[in-house]
Amino acid sequence: MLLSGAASALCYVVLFAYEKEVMATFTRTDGWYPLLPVLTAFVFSIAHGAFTGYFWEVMGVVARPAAQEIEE
Amino acid sequence: MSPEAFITLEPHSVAFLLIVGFIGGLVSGFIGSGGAFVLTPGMMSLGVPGVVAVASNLCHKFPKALVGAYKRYKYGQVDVKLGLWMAATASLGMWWGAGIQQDVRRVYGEAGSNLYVSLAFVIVLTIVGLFVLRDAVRIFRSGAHEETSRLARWVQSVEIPGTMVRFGVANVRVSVLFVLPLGFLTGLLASIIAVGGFVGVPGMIYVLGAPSLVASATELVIAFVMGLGGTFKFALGGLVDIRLAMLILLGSLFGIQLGAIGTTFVKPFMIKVVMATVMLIVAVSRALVVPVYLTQLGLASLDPASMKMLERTSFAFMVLGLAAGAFIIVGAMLRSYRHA
Repeated sequence: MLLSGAASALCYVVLFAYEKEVMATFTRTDGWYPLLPVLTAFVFSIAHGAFTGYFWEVMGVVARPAAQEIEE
Repeated sequence: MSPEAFITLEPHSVAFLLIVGFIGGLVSGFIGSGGAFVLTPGMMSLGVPGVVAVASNLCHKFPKALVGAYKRYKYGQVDVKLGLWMAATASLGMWWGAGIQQDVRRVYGEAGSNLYVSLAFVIVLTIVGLFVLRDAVRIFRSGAHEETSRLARWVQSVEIPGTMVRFGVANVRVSVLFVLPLGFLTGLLASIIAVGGFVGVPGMIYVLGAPSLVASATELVIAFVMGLGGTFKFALGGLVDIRLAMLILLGSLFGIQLGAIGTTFVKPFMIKVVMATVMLIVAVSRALVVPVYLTQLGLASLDPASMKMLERTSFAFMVLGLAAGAFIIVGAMLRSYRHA
């Protein structure tokens, strides 16, 4: 959890610390630049996705695999 | 679009994106879609140009759907094959729908385009929402399990040689000649109202006979494919505001994880309850602005103050629709948690 949390935080810190540079680069339409928003979204989803998954686990909110059988 | 055209982020804008992102994610994780209908107009009200709002919303949608689909895949709820078959034609539907949108805007202007979108919202969501609600109420009253609809039983009985495909997780065997048009309609609706799942999920349930848990989870695969394609298309024009997209994602990944977990807590018909509630409230929201667009087209006469009031009430109803969905999900999870 700590590792994914740090990775997620790092992604956001970099994005906003270099906000102007990022926006100038990510809105370029030449070459391979249009791929940047797509790749960035993938990177954020891996780091932040892992962190949010662990977050709910640590909070005690976990799935109930047998929930359907219990309910039905 | 030059970088100067992108908004300066204020604390209240950031808070709005985080909160709506979280609630939208929660609803998406549970019913397979949701959030976009509040996020896009919401971003526009913060001063974001419409096209950038659409692009940035799509850029948060596909990573969110990816995380949600992965989570629900682990629960055994995602039919990847069905999702990919549907996504194949959904992309075509989205492309075709975008063309229609452009034609409507060219011929009837901005107000005509808005009227077209709002009428699509009202007609589709009222019909599908009432149908889903009736089914949910029936299951609730009778205490019965989900049953395959008569239409789905017929669809499953039609044998067209060379086109039959078995979808293992959904536990159905149908001709792809039924799956492909459904995917097309999902994409078409996504291009008009940004939430294809309002047709895709009920379609998979009532036309193909997939269980609602599988349908809502599989919708996330379709949303991922459409969101990815859409983001790239807009990125080619330099229209994605990555800051907005990642801020929404910050909240929405917390939400989608919770919504996905929520599906393992509650009875499957709760998915239909949430879907119908959100759809019907959003339909009311869009119906409220129809007179505004009719006035702008010269087909009705409303004074500016009334128009402004209707627009504000409409947006409030949209937020209410999303909040009501989230409220039901969290309420159902808490009830189930206490009874366990």
